[in-house]
Amino acid sequence: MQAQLVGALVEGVPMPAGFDRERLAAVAEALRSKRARAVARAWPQSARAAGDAFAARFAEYARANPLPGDSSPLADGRAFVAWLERAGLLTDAARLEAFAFDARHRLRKGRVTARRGPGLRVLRLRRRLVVVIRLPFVGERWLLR
Amino acid sequence: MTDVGIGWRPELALMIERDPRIRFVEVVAENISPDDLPRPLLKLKERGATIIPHGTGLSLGTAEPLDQKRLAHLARLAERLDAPFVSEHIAFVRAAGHDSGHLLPLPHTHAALDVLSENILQARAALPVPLALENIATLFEWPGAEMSEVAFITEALERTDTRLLLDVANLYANARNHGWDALAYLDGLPLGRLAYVHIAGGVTRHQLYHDTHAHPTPSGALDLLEQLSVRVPLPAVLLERDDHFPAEAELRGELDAIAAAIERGAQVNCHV
Amino acid sequence: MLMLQINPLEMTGPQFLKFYVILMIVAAIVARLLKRALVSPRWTDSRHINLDPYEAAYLRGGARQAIDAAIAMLAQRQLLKVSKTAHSVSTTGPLPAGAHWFERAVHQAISPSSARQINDIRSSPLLTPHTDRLAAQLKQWGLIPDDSRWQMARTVSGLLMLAVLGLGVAKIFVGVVRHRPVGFLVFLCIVTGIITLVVINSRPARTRLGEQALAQLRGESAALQMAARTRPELLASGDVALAIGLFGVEALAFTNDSWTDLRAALRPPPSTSSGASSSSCGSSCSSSSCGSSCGGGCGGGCGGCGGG
Repeated sequence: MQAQLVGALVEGVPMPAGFDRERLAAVAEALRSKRARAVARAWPQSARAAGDAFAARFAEYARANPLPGDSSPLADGRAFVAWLERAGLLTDAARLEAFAFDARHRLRKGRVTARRGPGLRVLRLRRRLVVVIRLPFVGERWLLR
Repeated sequence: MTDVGIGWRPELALMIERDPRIRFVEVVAENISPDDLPRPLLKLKERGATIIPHGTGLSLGTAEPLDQKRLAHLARLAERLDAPFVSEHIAFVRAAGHDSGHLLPLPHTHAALDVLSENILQARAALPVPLALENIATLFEWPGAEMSEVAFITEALERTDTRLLLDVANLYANARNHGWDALAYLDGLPLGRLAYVHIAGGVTRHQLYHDTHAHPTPSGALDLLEQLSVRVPLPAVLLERDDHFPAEAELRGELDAIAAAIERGAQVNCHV
Repeated sequence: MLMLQINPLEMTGPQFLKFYVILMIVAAIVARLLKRALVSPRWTDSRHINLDPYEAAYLRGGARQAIDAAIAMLAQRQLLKVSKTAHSVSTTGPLPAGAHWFERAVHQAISPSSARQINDIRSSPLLTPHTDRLAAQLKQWGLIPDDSRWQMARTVSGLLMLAVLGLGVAKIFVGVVRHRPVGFLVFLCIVTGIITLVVINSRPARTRLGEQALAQLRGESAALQMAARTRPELLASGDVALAIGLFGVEALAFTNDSWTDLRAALRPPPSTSSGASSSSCGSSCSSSSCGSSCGGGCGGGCGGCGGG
């Protein structure tokens, strides 16, 4: 019963019987907007990229994508950015934000973990090239041109 | 004197650090690591402030065994912060592996009470300090209730010998949204178990009151705080603000309004 | 004792090359340590040092950081207009009365109100006396190397490297006299010469006391850093300046267009939303723990939750 209720609230499976439908719909809506706010705060550039349409876009994304494994706005936001990118709606600033996240974190089964060990990543933006290198002892270095 | 504190958030760290009157704070347990405590928290601890780890993800009401990792995390935090107690919610957040991302209400039935009590006892055994449990705000209730919420909470606390964290804003929200009698609720609670009190702001949308922690504290919640203060001396009251942070002066004003409400209530009963 | 009985000049070629490579590396490390030690003053207590925002910026990254901090402060108060694409700024009006003297200097260097390249401002001779004034104060406190200590430190460490170079050159002569191949050794001597030049020309940015003071100030200002990252619009302007000074322009997460342009103009920012250290915190209402050491500023707020 608890599982069915959670499913109804976050994944839109049919609501269990006996509950006040309107109230459950209000809760589902509140959950979505809370989720959207958390993502907008953790991913300010991507929220800006979506602009005024952020709420609507996020709602569209959220309907198709339940909260990831550890329910963190970081992971949720990364998935949202990927969704925006597929829709061709990303700005360079948002792309850079996602790039910086990818350089430092790894997503595994919806959980965010820090990357360790050496690494090299390159991002080509419209007007510049961004390279990030992580080396033992030296740490993280950004090269931009 | 009742301590008036505020929930510690990175956005508020500077304001809290610069206001020596704030001697009581709470941290959302899931947001910090016991092995890497934020510097500002350590500074607060040095100046003698009380810091309570406040869990939101234990899901004490889920009809499954507790997540031992989360429990151990809470225990470690309590030790590192020298906390007098740990707090959590009478709620469930996940079921069968699905996370709702939110605190959801429990059915007020004897079966749910048994599950909850069992989990509370398990949590208490794993924690180095007493546990305080909070009433949540909810927009909906389960069908088939066998008792009222206040009876449900009271029975759970009595059965497990646990302390109470009373959120007057949540009570205010539920009273408004479900037509409860808030004063009768206060009278039904085991106030002798009161560890501390929460208060927060919210907003009314489509005739429903939403406990957002992102808006100013409504006067109705302050009135309830005053009524509570008439009934029992309050150890500490804590304002929760999580989003849309206002300027310092405005938050300061809210803290002053909270202190004034406590004072008014205490005057009535002369337990200053 | 073994070393003393062996005359390096009498070693065979391959033996000497191995010996020389090791000697070169050891000498370079020792020279670096010596330099650090010799520029540092004897007193070691940084507790009573209180830096203003531009002194802090200078301590963190020299004249360039101080000038960038002033440009950022002026832009933040709408006293400068920023052109992201041209990497230039222009003044919008006169400074208010209470402005910091260094801000005044930078503002004057930008006037008259034609747009100026940020790179030109950074290297403007008009600003040299003012950045020197910041440096003089830091030198007096022993936070950056003062000139006499630096001369001494570079002389001593330079002489050490020269001695190594001298040994190599002597061995080349020995080799030439004995008609042995000296190509490798000539190459190593050139490397030693380059290291010597680097050693005597790279002035440490901070003394040990300076490192300590900077780390201490940044640690004590952790709450300011959090506020700058999460809600900079609520900071008093003095706090904005100090946050820029201690943590850099990228530590302030203003999201208005002019600030974004400014960051892009000062340096394309490796901005990120996320905390570098992600304590994976799964919960009904958690976000990242906003790690303490983010390379390029992190704008992620830690969310709380409603309903609890």
